[in-house]
Amino acid sequence: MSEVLTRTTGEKIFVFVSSLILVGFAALCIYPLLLVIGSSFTEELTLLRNGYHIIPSKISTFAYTVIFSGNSMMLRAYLVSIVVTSLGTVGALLVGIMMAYALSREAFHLRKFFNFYVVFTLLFSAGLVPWYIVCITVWHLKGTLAALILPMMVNGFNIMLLRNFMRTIPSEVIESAQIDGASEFRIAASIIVPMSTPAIATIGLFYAMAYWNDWFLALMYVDNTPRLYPIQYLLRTIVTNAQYVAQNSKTLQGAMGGLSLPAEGVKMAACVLAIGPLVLVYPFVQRYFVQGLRLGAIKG
Amino acid sequence: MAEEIWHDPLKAENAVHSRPRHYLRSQWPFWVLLAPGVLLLFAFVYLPMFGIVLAFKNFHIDQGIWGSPWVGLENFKFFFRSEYAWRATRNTVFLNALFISTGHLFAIFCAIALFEVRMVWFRRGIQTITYFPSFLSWVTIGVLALSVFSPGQGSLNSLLSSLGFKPVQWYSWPSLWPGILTLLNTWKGAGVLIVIYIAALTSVNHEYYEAAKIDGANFWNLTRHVTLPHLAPTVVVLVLMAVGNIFRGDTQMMLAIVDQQSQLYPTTDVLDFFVYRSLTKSMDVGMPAAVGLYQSCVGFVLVLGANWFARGYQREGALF
Repeated sequence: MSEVLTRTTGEKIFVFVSSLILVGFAALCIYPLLLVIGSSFTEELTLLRNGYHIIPSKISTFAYTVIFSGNSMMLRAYLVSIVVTSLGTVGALLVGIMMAYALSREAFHLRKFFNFYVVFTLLFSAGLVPWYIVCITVWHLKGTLAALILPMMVNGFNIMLLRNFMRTIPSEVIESAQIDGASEFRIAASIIVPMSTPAIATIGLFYAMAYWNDWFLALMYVDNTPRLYPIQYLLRTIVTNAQYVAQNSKTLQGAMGGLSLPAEGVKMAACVLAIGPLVLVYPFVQRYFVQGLRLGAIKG
Repeated sequence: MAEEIWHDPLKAENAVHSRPRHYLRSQWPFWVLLAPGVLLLFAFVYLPMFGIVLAFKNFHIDQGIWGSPWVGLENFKFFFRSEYAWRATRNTVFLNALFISTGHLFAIFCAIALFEVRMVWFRRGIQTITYFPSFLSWVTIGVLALSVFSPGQGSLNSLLSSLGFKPVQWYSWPSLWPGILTLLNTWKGAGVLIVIYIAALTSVNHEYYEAAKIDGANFWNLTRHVTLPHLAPTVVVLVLMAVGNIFRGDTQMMLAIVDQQSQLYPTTDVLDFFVYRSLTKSMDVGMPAAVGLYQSCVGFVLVLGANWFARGYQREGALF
């Protein structure tokens, strides 16, 4: 629209004011991160007296030392999160691509039934309690790594997105492959998948992010198994119970003497460590998310 | 090359149903492809549906699901007679309505404003930065919120003190929290909506603008009569989908941000959060199961209704 008109004064004011608001909002998006990073490097007593600030008046890396000392539960949590995210995303993509392909093929006679089967799961669910009781008593998921991976592996919404994308692939491509004698598996793997990479990349990132950020599964199923805590859940534990850190950090107990635990600093540092990987990865993957959204928005 | 004769599928005598062996041969790959997903969905979505009976039973862990005694509608009566029923329902719907309206209005405003800016780097930069909060989990956002709103160390109170105002006990006033939660929710979600709306705006045909300009339209006319009507389908579909979910609270959000602060529950206790607490704290299984069923049923009707409306408005936008 801006190329079409020359601006009136009223418009110029609008653009100016709204740009300020936009910049303000963007700053607001970054500000809390800076606050937390700065506070994590601030000495504990300063934090308690002066509060959280972006620029530390007294620098100290003690909070980080505390977290990484002892039995390095942070590193363990990173490992758990990485394993869960990798296995989960790969599994979800495999299962999802197979499903989406089958559902996109008109040659599949039971297509309507299974479409309904998948979509219905998005409309109605039994609720938290039956889901939890079934997972505990029937699938014996309590305290297992599988509990962090399997329940989230099939998401109807993502599968429908993939299916819709695959449906846009011209049927002549598939038919010519069939004439050449290709099996459905062959067609899926050698033709459809390579042609669907934008959608697969986007869905893959959706799943990866969901797995990395999830802590609800951890809360429900591995609360009693600290060695299986993913990062987000560890962060939550640290924040809600700063004493947890003291009890689990042997070197700390020796080094502390009579000093109090850097609870505030530890909270901030743990948060920084939880966000860190996302900040590093974000510039590279943001493009795919936006592209995926745009595909979805325009196609409806 | 295929070693068999190729049967033209368009010919009637080759219709698959009339050749059972051929039916199996042509269809089985699809069943195999679907199997893992179907089984997983069954295990975690459909099988729990049998567990709905828990809403009508008094569950004892040693008796299992089937051995526990039936109590009919007792669990429902217990919930609806309590003060929590109305409070949780009201909070769920009210908070969601706030989230939806504020989030979308703000995003539309930002999208239109951004669309007006001539410098592409500004547009890209703002989009990239505002999109980032959607990457964060609610736990992380809870800590970020703490860094700002904490009564003792929060930056907001520091700012207020340095300006001469009295610091506020943010976590003590339930009435503040619909506002604070809306702020956090918008902060997290605006970026995504802005991207979608800008995409919708860029797809508007230039000729509409040019034609209107020839007729003497200024910026406000253009916005009202060209931009907004073109955005309307997208907005309607998105909002309807959100409204369909208005009965679903966000347990993760509440747990991460409000958690044990029971003084805040009067305005922040949503149905899901209530169910979670009942299940884990009170050892009662039947009542939260009943609440969950109540929620799922109402939600089901709402989603169907919203979808039906959305489909009438714009065919492809709806879910089915």
